[in-house]
Amino acid sequence: MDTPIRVHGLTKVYGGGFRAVDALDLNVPRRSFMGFLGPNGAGKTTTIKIVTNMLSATSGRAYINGVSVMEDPKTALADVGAVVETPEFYPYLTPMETLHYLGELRGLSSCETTNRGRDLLDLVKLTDWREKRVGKFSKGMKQRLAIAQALLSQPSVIILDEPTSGLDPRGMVEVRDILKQLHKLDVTVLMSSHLLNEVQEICTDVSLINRGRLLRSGSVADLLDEVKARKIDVRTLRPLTPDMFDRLRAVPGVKGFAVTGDLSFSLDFEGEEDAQARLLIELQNLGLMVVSFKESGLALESLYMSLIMESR
Amino acid sequence: MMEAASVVNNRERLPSDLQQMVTVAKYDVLKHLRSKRLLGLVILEALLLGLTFALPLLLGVDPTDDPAGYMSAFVSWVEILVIIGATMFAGDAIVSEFQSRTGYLLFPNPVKRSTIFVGKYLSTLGIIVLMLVVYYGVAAALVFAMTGGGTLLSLYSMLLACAYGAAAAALGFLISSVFKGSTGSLVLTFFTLFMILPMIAQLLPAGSIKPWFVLTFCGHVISYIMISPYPTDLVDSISLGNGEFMEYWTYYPDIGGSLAVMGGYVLICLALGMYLFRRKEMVS
Ligand SMILES: Nc1ncnc2c1ncn2[C@@H]1O[C@H](COP(=O)(O)OP(=O)(O)OP(=O)(O)O)[C@@H](O)[C@H]1O
Ligand SMILES: [Mg+2]
Repeated sequence: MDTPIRVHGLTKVYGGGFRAVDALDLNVPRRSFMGFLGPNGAGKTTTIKIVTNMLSATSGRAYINGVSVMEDPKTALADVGAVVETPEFYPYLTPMETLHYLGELRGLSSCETTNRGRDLLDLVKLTDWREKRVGKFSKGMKQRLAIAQALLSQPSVIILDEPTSGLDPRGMVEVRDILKQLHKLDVTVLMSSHLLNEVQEICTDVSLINRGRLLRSGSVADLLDEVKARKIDVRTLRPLTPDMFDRLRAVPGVKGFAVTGDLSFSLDFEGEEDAQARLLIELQNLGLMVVSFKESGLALESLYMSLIMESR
Repeated sequence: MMEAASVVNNRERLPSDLQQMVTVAKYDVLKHLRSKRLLGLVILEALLLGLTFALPLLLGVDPTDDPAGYMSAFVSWVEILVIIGATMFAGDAIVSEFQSRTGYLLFPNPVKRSTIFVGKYLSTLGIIVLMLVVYYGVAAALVFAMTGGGTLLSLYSMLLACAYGAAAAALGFLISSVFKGSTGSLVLTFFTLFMILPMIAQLLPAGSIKPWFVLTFCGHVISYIMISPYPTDLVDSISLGNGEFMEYWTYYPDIGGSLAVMGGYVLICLALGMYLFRRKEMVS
């Protein structure tokens, strides 16, 4: 199977007649990390819920490892780990018991669950809470446990809906590290997220949807190549004076600039890295005494913004 | 291209529906055992047993030495006990997965919804049977202590109570598959069994209709079986003055028919509930 997750013509019309997902096609290639992007209400969670058998689709198909989720959910989900929304846990079970419950449903031996459970709870930093009932866990702790349970059976398909939501900054970094380790394995991931830095850091591919429709899909590298203009923030010790404006505009690659403060301005710049290096030299030659010189925002963010704008 | 090794592995080791059903039931029983509801029910049982036993002694009433008569006093509480048990352990069994969002954890697993449904029902049934066995056991022990005897009728009554429990729980499962909120589901389950059905069973005889199909009416067999001979339907007439009489019937459920009706409730409620549960969407 070259596309472990395949969604074709998926449509979901909610009770009130609202079309949350509209003839969506989505293909997640094997061993890719697909970032699933889109504004609030775009239909990401709805799509993920259909793929994980929590909602029924109005029409269309979803296949996991070649098996239809609609026709045979049990087989289709056999090799899937999922975190959808922040799930609630059974408050009367401890993390370890929860893993045993889910492991037993998937046919893991008790011994295997214990060993893997210990490693996973260690990985998500819940070891100290292993034997405490989940009832009083905080949202972030539940999210960590959710990630641990998704990895329990070492599935080859992992579906995550905003996996780092609710985590503290360190938790986010830790979860990202866990996800990055998955790159080494034969694992396919579909992950919705609003954190574009996170997506740019861990995803190999992205699919961007809006209003239930696919806007764009492709590898991160290809999409980023499309974004030529970059914004560069510059801080200096000497002010940028009007007599320098023409010389600045004349530097190759500079498309425009905006003064953002007494000792700062930003440049719209188009060009490769060597052109960017030359830009810095030019700025120093102007006698500005550059303190800092960095790309602002993320390339992915610019792409996201422009595509969302176009689709309105 | 080759499939990932874990696809084959995870598919092959997937347990059968039956095995998964046992797993669901097992962990659901654990839920009941650790819940405050079970504690509440145990306290209620103790209270009912204690009261039935101690009150006659305190009031100085001479206790009968007829075991069946004595046991009847205990059995008279069983119907309400079953209703409370069915409410607590079935009344929100399904809706709680949705309302408390634990469905987000359970449903993406390779388990059929029908497996989850039946597994949960079995666990509820187990708890209700456990509750009844304990109650009847203690009651029979008290009867033996006071009268030096016992009666086989207690066992029959307990078996009928288990059947009634199974039907009441199935009704609770159906109601909890319909509702969106736990509270509404619990309240409706309780009032259906405690008021609505009994009211229907009260009204129907006025039109000379035997309410044989009303679940709570059938539930009375639990108490009537303690009476020997078993009571039969009878017609009575009351004088309305001026020489006119009005006939009215007192109906008694018959045992075989009631068992059949209870079985019918189990089958219909479970089938309908399972159908609804399979279609129920995990939203919110
Ligand atoms: N149960 C429901 N009934 C009616 N409309 C719904 C329901 N659930 C979601 N919607 C609507 O469907 C649309 C898509 O919702 P969805 O949760 O899939 O968006 P999302 O992309 O996950 O958004 P977010 O980024 O905020 O998580 C929204 O406009 C939402 O209002
Ligand atoms: Mg969402």
